[in-house]
Amino acid sequence: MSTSRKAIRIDLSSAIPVYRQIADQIRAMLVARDFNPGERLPTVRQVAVDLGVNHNTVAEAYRNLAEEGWLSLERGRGALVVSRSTPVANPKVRNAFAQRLRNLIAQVRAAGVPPQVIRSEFEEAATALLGREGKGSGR
Amino acid sequence: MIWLNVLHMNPVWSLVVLAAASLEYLMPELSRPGVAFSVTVAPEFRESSRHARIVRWYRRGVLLSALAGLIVAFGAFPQIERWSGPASFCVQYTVFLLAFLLARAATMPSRVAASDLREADLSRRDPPAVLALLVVAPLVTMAAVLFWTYANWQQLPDPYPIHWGLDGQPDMWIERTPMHVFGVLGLLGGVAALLAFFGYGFLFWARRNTEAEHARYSFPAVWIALFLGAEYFVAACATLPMGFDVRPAELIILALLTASSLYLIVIGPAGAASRRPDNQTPDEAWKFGMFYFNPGDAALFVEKRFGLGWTINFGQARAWVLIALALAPLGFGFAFVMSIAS
Repeated sequence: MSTSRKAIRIDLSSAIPVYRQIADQIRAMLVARDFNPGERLPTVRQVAVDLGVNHNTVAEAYRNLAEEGWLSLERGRGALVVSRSTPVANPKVRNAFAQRLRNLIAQVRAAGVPPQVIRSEFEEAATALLGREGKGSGR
Repeated sequence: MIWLNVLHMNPVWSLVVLAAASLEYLMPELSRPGVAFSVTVAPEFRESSRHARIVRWYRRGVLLSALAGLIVAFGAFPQIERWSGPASFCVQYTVFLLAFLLARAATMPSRVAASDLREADLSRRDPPAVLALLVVAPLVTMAAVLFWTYANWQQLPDPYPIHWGLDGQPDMWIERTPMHVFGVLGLLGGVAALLAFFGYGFLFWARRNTEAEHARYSFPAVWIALFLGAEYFVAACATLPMGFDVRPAELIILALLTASSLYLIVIGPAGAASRRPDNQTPDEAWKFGMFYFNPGDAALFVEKRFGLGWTINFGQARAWVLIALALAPLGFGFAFVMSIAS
């Protein structure tokens, strides 16, 4: 089964709430510029129908993304992707990111994932989401 | 003797019984690869000898159902001669249901946990709004026919024709009374509304395949076209008493209906294997393997696990409201037919 680049997949048995799985994956697409400003996402109803979940779950994910400045929500017309100026990350955010990354690496290493796989997955994800953005710039 | 009772047979209902049984015979091949008799199974199970044995027994049951239905349609029970047509279909369907439930019970030991993974393709868009207009157009026609009938009551023929032969001449009439005339139109309007409800629901309230699946599996589009074709056919029938000769249009619609039905039967088994193993629904939500009840699923229509097309999600309150709204005119029409028959 081939999966479209713009397809989202959720796991109902995951400990991560479904609305967060949806928001995380759409955010990843927005960061990777799979959707450009001015494009519309499908309506809450349509995504909920396609995923087989409650409307409120998808609405919550869209609301979160709207609060982060990615989307503008219009009733009945879906969500409009808006251009979003990248905020300047304060040290607190960077520290939290570093900590979460370390925890994640430790978690998957403890689960037996080999170091080279972790490295290649990390690089692949960074390339997919960031492209050549910020390459060579220091901290 | 049943076989000497051919003169009393009901040819239309005999055909209905045979068509239903033929479709039911094919149904095991139409399921997705990870589903057998509405039970989630490993795709390898579908290739196993055990599954082949269950299918063999199921098909014997379907053949038996056709035989039982035909016996009733052939007038084996003179006590219910007037109702032998609908009764033949009921008998056939009941025996088929038994065969299905037995096959399902035999498949249960091979059940595996249904996947909790769900997928949605954000690049797919809602169907174009013009399709909604296509669904509504026959209903507008029906409303226009009602208005025309009301405005031109004195010009209506008395008796009022309600059935036409293949030569285009009326061969059945009723007395021209408001109850009879508007009863017939109400019955046709009810059928058209029901078809429109399903057509619109399949288009806008059903789970869609991903773009990749959509590109190589045309079944849903043909299925929707079949419902729309039937809706247009009913609306065309309603205009007949106005004096229009709609036979050419009706013949085209009938040819399209036949072609799309045959196409569905041809592409159904071929396309089923290329799709993802399951239809993204939990096993627990399928009551008796046929009725879908899942309040947590936003879809009003979901793909059937066994059979053709979609079924309603009975877990949604709006499903019941819509069913009641669509069935009310049919109930009225049935009461009307009963009153004419008596």
